[in-house]
Amino acid sequence: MESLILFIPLLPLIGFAINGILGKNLSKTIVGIIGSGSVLGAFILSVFAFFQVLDAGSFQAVAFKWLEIGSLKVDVGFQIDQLSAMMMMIITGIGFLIHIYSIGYMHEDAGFYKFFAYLNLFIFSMLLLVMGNNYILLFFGWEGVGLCSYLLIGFWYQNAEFGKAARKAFIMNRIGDLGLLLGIFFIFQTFGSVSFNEVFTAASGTGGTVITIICVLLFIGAMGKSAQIPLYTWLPDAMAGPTPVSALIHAATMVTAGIYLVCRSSVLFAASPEASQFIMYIGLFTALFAATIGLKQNDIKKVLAYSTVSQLGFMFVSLGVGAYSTAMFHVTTHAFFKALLFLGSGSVIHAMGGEQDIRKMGGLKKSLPITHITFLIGTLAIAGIPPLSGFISKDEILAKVYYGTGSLPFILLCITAVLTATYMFRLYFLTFLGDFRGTHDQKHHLHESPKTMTIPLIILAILSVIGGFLGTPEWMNHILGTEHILDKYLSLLHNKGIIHPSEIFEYVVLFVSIIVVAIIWFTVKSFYISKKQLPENDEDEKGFAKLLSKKYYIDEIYNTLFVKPIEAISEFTHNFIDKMLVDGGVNLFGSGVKEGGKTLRWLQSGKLEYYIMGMVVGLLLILVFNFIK
Amino acid sequence: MKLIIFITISAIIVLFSSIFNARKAALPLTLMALLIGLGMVFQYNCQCDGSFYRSIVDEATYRNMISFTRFSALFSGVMLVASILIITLSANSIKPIFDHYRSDIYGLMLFSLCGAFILVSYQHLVMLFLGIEILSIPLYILAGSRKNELASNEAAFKYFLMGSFTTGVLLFGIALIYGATGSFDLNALMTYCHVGQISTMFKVGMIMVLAGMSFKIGLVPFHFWSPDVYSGSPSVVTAFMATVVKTSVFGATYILFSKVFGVNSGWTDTLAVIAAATMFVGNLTATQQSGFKRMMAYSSIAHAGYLLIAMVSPDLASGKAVILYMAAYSLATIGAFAVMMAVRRCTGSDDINNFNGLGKSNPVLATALTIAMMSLAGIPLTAGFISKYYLFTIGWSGYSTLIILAIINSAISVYYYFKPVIAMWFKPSTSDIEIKTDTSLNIVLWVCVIGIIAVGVYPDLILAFAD
Repeated sequence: MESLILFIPLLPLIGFAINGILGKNLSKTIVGIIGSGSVLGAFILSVFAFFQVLDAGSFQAVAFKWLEIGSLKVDVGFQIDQLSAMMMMIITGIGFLIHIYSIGYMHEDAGFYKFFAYLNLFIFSMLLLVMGNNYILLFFGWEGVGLCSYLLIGFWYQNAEFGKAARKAFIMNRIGDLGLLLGIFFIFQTFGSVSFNEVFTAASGTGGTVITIICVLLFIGAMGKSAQIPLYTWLPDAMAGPTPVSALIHAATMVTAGIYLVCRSSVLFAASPEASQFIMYIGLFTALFAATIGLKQNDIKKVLAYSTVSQLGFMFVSLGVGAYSTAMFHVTTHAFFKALLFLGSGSVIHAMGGEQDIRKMGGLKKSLPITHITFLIGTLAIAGIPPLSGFISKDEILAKVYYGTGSLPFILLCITAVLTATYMFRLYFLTFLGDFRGTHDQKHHLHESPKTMTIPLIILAILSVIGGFLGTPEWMNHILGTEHILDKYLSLLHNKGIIHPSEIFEYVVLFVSIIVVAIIWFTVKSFYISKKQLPENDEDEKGFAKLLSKKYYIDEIYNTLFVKPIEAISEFTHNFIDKMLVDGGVNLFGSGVKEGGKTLRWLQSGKLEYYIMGMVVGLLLILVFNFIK
Repeated sequence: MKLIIFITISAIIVLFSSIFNARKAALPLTLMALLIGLGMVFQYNCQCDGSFYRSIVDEATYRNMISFTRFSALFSGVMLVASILIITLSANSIKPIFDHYRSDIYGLMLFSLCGAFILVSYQHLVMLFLGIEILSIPLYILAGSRKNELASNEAAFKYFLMGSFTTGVLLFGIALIYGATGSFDLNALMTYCHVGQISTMFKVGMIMVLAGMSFKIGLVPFHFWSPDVYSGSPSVVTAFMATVVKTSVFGATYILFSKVFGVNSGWTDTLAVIAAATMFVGNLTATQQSGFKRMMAYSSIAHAGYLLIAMVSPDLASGKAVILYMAAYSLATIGAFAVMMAVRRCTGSDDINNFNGLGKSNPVLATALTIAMMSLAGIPLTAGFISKYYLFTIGWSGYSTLIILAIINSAISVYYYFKPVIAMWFKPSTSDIEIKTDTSLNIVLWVCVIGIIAVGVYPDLILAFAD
């Protein structure tokens, strides 16, 4: 098994190499088969690895020694345990579905082979990130997924705006990466190693300022990758990429790397209550903040993007209260329903001929039956209808927060959940119900997507429904005789005391959720469908609504606070330091060399007597200088 | 010793082949002799173990005249490989009117090579002198082997006159050393230097010997001959001088100074100054050259300057650094000469402007030259980089200022090494003469390019022999 493990990242890498080098000359069918097939292979092997872990516990597989500099020893080695096996299943499983979906979605694109090559490279990097047995390999994968994300956001680089979005994502991520890198340096300095096993063994039972610093630095890395305040602004812009990319990278997998990082380092985080507190508040604030922005967005993918930011906030809250396995649970269910929603929106965009504005949609229910049903399931799941997966995992987070920290975060999180249901229902009603508001051409063009696109939708819809049973709450266990599979499975994480919410609490939450969600459903429906209200144009919004539709002017604030001053500094360094000092210095050196060369060339006269004289004088000088002392 | 005898006999056979009207056999015979020689060196190196400087044959067998050690074997190996490449290169490059003298040219090269072997294995100062003469006299003739070309005659004449002048200086130096110590034997000299006070007479002798050797290597201020001779001689001979001759005399100097006299006998300061001057003169003047061969002449002067870093370093591994460096330098230089010869044959001159547009018209040649130039300039992933790195690391314990100067010089050298590269890739072709190559030239090019990259990525290919 250990040698087969190497093939899990290797297969997508091979796929990348074949499609990247030869793809131009291969037919689209073959490119699609290679791209998807390599990920399917990795998925099958991941399933084996998963069962191996289930049977015999975690194990390591070292491929080769990578570097050895002083006391820093880094292997290319893989750590397959419950956490990484679970992530591997999500990455390769959902990755495979999205590859299949892309065959249909990208079929008309000239860069088809390039797209699959990038996707495979992404899967490879992401697998390295979660499989590596040390922080350096994790960092390697971390950078790799950042690169792929950049390449795929800017996939349609002919559009300058998309190129800018890609750059923004890359730069924002780099800021976070700096934190991660510093964190790794601190880890190495403190523990003298970067391998997970050694660091965690050394760290267990310790505490103090150093651990807090390390945790905060690691979390800054997570902030960038997982789009938390203040580094979240890249994710909504990242929707410039093709929709399968948004589904795979910017919803299901890459953005959860931050969660994975914290879970992987749960020993460290458990040892620092301060850092955990910090994470919880950042997550809480992000969840609420992004959800309010989501209320006023009119781009189908932007709504989902803010929803992703908000859901990631939920996961960090859970991490902050020490419920690591709960966060992983939400990662899993979120991967199912958010990938489903994104792919569904892709199907809608596909049918609408590239239109993304929900004000120009409506009534798509009839023309896109499969997309409609699956999207509805996704919406209900994220909105929190029991017993769909989203409800169960979110409910668990709420319970952990209620018992973990107290009422204020709990109430704010509940408000966020209400907002989530609101913007999701708004999105659903405006897109699928009511009358069609697009052009005549678009209406004529409406069609259900091909099977390569609908089958992944159906599979993801099923997963969104049943995914919650991985972590059934107590009351359900009572009725159905099930158990919380995930808590047991992820026992390696350093969860902060297992909390058993009282049954009354659970029933209250259950019924209140149903009632509240039902109320929201009917209110939103009456507003947008019965009264046929449409969102206003951005310019016509007033007051707080305008603030929301303008996303709190965060981009503008960042621009004034950071981008412009940095540009001014760059301008100065370019004109003064580079052009005058550096270039001037280099040119001075250059002309010195030239002049020196000219002078010396003159010595080479071609006359023998001068040469011999030169030699004799040289010899005499050497002798004199040797005996002058 | 067997190697020297074998190559001498081969030389005589090759020389006689013209008498028996078997001139065509000269090239294969020479190559075969060299390959067998290489095999012998390889086998010898495998037999050796332990010390770098101990012969497996008892030194008394040859009356303490010759001591063929692993150091000698490795140097001989580098020189043999260089000779094989150069001779292969010459297969089609000797002009038809000189084809008559082909066997003479090869014979003389082999004789010269014998001198080179003696120079890396002598145990007695008389052998040093004999080695230098056996090396040089064929070279004087080879430099002038294009009898009816004025430049070739001039080169031979200048080389001969200045060469005999410095031979006098060298001999005088040897005489003074004998006068001070009463012995020609290297072991006796080593004892003298490490035990007692060094007399003034010995010191003067040492400096004069250094001057004689410096002339052959082309160190400032004894370098004046080399640009003139390099550009006047036939290209094959120039390549031979720039690689084999330089390697052997450098080996001889290394043995005498670093090993026998030792770094504490007061010559290192002088040599460090010479090193700095050589680097600067070589590199600065090279920037002003428009002819490729002349540029390479200055480049070889500059590289000799870098190599002196190993000589003045007290590090015991400096011998290895010299071998690695010479191998890297020889490969790149021969590769560069091969391309230059192709260009010169088709356009009639080696002016750098004649390289314009080669990147489009013959990308293989252009790529090979680019790699060779990158190696000479010391760009990473080439043998030139790794050997320079190794050399500088070892030299750091000696004269660290010298390393800094050498690094500045490496930067300067990029300027002129990239002149032909820029001409090839970025300038439009000025004429429509097609640059053609032939099989033997292509083989040499491939060997050089693969060698440069292989050693650059995995220097143990060469260092493994020295361990």
